[in-house]
Amino acid sequence: MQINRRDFVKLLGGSLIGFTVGGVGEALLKIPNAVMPILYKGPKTESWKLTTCAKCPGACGLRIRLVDGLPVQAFGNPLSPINFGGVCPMGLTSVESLYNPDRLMSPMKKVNGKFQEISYTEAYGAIVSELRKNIRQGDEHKIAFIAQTESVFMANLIQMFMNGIGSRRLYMDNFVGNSRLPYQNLKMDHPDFIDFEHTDYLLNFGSQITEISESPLFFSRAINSLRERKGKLVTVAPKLTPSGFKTSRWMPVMPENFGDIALAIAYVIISDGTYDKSFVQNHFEDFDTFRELVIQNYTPSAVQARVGVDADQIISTAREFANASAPAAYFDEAILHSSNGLRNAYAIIALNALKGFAAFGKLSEAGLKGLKIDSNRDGGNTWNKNNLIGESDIDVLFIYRSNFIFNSPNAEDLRKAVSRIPLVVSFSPFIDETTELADLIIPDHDDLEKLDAYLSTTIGSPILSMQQPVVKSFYSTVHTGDVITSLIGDLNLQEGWKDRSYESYLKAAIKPIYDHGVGMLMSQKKPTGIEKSLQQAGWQLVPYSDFDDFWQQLLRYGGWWNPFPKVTGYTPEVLLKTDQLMSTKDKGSHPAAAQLRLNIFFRNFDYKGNLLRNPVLTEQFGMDRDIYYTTWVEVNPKTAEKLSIAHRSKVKIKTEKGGFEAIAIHSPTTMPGNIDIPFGLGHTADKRMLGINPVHYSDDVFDEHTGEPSYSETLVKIL
Amino acid sequence: MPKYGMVIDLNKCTSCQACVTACKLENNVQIVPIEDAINGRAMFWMKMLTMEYDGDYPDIKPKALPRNCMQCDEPPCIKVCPVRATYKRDDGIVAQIYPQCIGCRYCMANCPYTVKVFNWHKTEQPQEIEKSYNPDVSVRPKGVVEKCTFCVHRLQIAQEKAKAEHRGLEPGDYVPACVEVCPVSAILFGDLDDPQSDVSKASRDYRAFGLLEELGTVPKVRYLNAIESEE
Amino acid sequence: MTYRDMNDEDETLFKPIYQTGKNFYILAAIFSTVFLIGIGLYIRQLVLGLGVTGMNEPVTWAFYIVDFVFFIGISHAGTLISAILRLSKAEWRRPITRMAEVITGIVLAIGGLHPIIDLGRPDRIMHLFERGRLQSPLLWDVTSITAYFTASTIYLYLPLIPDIALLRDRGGKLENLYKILAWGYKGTPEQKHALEKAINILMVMVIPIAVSVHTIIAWIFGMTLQPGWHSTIFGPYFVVGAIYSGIAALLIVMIVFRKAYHFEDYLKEIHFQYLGTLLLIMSLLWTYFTFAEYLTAFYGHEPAEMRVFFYKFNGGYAPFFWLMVFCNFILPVVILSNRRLKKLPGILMASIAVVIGMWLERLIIIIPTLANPRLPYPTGVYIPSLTEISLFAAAVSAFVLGFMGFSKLFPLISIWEIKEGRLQSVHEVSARLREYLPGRHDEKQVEATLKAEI
Repeated sequence: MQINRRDFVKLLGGSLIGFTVGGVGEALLKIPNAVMPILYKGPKTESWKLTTCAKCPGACGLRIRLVDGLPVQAFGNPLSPINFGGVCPMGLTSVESLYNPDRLMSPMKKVNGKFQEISYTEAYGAIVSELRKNIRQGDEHKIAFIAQTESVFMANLIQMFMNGIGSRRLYMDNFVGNSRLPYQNLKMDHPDFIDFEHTDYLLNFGSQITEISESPLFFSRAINSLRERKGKLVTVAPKLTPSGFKTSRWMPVMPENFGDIALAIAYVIISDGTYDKSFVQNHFEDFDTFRELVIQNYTPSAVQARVGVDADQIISTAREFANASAPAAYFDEAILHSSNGLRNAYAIIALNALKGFAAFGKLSEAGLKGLKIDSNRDGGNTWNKNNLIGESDIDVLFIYRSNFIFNSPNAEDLRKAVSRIPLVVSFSPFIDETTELADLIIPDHDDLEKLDAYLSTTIGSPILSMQQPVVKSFYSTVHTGDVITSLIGDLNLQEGWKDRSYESYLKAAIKPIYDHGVGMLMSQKKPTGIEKSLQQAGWQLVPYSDFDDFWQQLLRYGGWWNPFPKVTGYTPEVLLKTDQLMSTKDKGSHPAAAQLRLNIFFRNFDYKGNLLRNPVLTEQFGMDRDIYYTTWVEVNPKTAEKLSIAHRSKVKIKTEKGGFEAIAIHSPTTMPGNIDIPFGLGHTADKRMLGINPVHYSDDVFDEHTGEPSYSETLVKIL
Repeated sequence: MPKYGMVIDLNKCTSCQACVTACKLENNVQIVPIEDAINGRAMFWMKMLTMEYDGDYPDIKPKALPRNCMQCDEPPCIKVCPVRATYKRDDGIVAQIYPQCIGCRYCMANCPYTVKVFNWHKTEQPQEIEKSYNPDVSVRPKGVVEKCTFCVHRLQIAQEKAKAEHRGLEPGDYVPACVEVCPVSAILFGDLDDPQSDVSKASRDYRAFGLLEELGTVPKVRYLNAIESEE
Repeated sequence: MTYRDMNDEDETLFKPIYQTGKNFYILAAIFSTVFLIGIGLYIRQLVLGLGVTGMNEPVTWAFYIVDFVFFIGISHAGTLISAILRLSKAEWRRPITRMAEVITGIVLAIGGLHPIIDLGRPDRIMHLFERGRLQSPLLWDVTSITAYFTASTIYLYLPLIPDIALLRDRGGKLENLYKILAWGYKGTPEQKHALEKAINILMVMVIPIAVSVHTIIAWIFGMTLQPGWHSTIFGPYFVVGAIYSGIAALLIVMIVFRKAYHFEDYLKEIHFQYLGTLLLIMSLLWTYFTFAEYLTAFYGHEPAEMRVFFYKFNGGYAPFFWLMVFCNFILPVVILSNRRLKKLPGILMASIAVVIGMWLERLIIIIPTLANPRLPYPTGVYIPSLTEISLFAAAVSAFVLGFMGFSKLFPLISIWEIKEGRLQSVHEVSARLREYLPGRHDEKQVEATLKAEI
């Protein structure tokens, strides 16, 4: 259609006039709708894909809604027996993580202090040549690996890699692995799960069980049903977090004193004689020395003087514990976060032993045949990230998804140590506080773009949750599993290594499940009646024809589990020696008389310092205290009165490492001798974050054996 | 006509705040600039309130409450709107008509629960939020009032789907986002007028109460009191 | 002799129209600047949204609504004083009525625009008229303010006609404008009679309209469920407060223009004494209402109400509250009940204090209730922004500029009424007095006595 200039001007003029006359008001204020999803140019068809959330150890099933093939929202997978369709805030924001503009788009290399994009071949080549050099020179031990993953398969792969190289410098930060460390150190068998159907008493030592734990969503439901059956939840913790809002009793105790409480309860049970005598006779080797220790040092009144909890409370808790038919004293990784964490864990194990581990269960070998993969640190291997500071002969450091500079108090020393290392390779998808120090970055896929699998037993059955890519990766990121399998292959680290990709490795690792033939895909309905008995006997009809079909369906339906596992009670040999319970720390006076302590608590918006880049979670972080983008501290109202601190006033907090400002909130959920501060704010590598990272102001106190930092033993002054 | 209502069981609620996040993401609620958030303009349709702490230390019973729009049967907000930008539908949902609202904020001043939020600015959203907008929900322009709508867009989609499949709307076809994602199924939703539905039975439970009931707003979001465990 | 300095008896009243001093231009420049700054910031608000103000959740109404109520309150000055004094045939009203009516006209225009400034979507204002809901107090507000504005403009215009006619007859400047506006008024007895009848109808009509306006504004708050607002006394309380602030504003205007335009001969001491007494009465009345309001709230001790109460009494808003009590009660009563202090300077001080105090009173009513919602979250703190403060300054400047502009076009004191007063009042008042006093008097005898006296 021909339009000459005159017509065009007329058209323009006419439309302008019409525009003006017709709707001056609206037109003037009309802001262009920049919110129309410009990516969705297609017919807006909706589809769904199932995957698994990898943000915390829970491995909850996710159901991703895709519009025109691009992810829009995340919901829970109702088929998953872990979360039954529920999701926590971290999982809900999976899609926002995918679209985060700070994601690295390709491998990076540090040139003159700045990161430059390079190709994958170049990066991979650099790593291979460096590793070859070390192997040739016999310097295998100069290679270190710090990893954080909740997938036992990935952990196993990394383990194989390091074993193949021949270095023991592997620090595997895996929640379940860490929770089982006390059992491992005692060379004891570990329990697989707590039998929530039979438990009627849960004594929780310091775990934020419904917020950050082995399976927060599963535990939330389990505890609700426990309470519905008139069971009891007792919380022993330094702060009453939402995990303890529904507790029957809160015993405010500092984490370093958990062992004292456990042993005081043991005292009552032993003196009452209500312990499981047959179990103790048959399985608790060192019981007599143990009894001596407890009777002499852990009377409730003595513990009251040392720790500050009422002796009556201890005695009633102990009697309830003893009277319950299946009590459980629970701890998880959080117990390691104090200066004598392991010792406290041993005490709790001993306490459980007194009642024969009645509430714990074990999945028998047959149920998990072929899937016995331990993600724990190599038996007896206590190398951890703090060793980086002392050891100056490390040539290569691999970092997989661990932001340890952020969540360690000795960050400055660690920074110096890492800067000394010639080649630091990071696999993080972002430039976080730890990756800032890297020389080479091969960014991993985002959680929605990668393939992985999670094996857990927390729900009382073995369950394999599959994580699959819901969308093809947007950028030139590389699955770290692929990198490591290629490295193992190229450097000949394992005999007969055939896998060139993580997928083939994973398929091989999962094949035993298919071979074994028990259990069912999450798509199938849990059988009842005759079908159930048949399945329990080992006969069942399966909807897949061969392994490839099984694999396809596994990915399609989100996972596999065995609803009728062969379960046995957990009756280990208690190989605890009494001298392992002896305190090496000077107990000192009553904590209330000492100086104020800074206690760091966690929220379910961040797991170990990697998640708060999400703008939704960042805004929501302090919403329930009506505080936004600022750090706050919680003070007990009586303490606040004594120190004349008004509610919601600005205060200055001073520790050894420095001072910072925060807003003070009166909260009776705080112990009078503590100042509570939330963990998760204060990312310096992210310009959109604000707030203070309290870990960097904490004193350098670590668990003597494992090197885990203590989060509650910093002395603090408040002004 | 069904009358949609909600019952939140405080005994089950673990204050995990999944409902808060889900609501925000489902309804494309804006993220306000940092200064605005600090000055009290953060926009949350569903909020987790900590109402009070009962008991003396250490026997403290915190009372945390997820609070969305009460969807009153006698809403104070619709009485005072000068242009009928907020009104009560036949199925009980108190709706907002964004193109009609003139932004006088009278409804906000009259709501005794302060559930309504206002678009003070039109801010540039972070990139990842813009890319993951829910295509079913319109993004509001500046200068209008908004609030929880029981995810009424999901009702529309469910009705269209039921019509296409030549059947009626069944319970469970339509649930708001907060109900869907609650990990412990603490939020029940459905037809209050159907005496057989879960939510109707729960709303008549001995533990049921409504916030600020004495004002006569007849809130259709009711709560079940937490069961105190004996010492 | 030109039209500028004819030797009329009341030449002083004509002077301001024809002569402009240097001060006038300086002041006009200053106020115009302030006004334009305000307009500029408002345009910025239109573009960026209401976020440029300090309002938030829960304090969703702040300065703009406070200013709105304040200005509409002042409008009661004019029409009410002028109408009531006319109705009660008070002779001392004559130099006052014009200024009072002008106050009303200007301030209603300014105040009526304030809700539009406060809207989030002013481009949708037609929705109010196309699809308005009559059940909403805001719609009643729109109706009543429109009615009041119409009535008071007409009530300003009608008594202005004879003065315009005088100006037209002098000829000269703006003669054509005056010709049109005078509507052919010649002063004939029929025209006079018709005018008087019209004025009489209006002056009776205007009073209930005026009362309804501020009652309805009070009901915008009173009809809500919020603690501190949901009070039955609000309607009369606001009306009393409005009249109070109106009289104070009127006094300020009178004193200022008396000085500026040398009206000393017309606005005498006695006028200020009388208005001062009226101000004192209103002060006591206002204090009574305030006391009743707060005592009942305190006595009932309902928790939500008490939170608001203590916030005003000894909480965040205590300084404003007690300043208001000082400005509205203590200072005026002390000055106006003391014969030595009740002189022009004192009255001016009292009036300024009252105007400030009444603005504070609106602030105290609106913001503490919003800042203390029934549910504990969100907590509310309000800090006014530059936009809001400068728009208030712009509104005040608009008022002053409007007045100054008016004074250049029309006489600020009703010339024909002064003339009429000179000619007829003495006679009328005497006649009335005779009617009140005991004893019968023959009419003719009365006439004769009167003629002798004059």
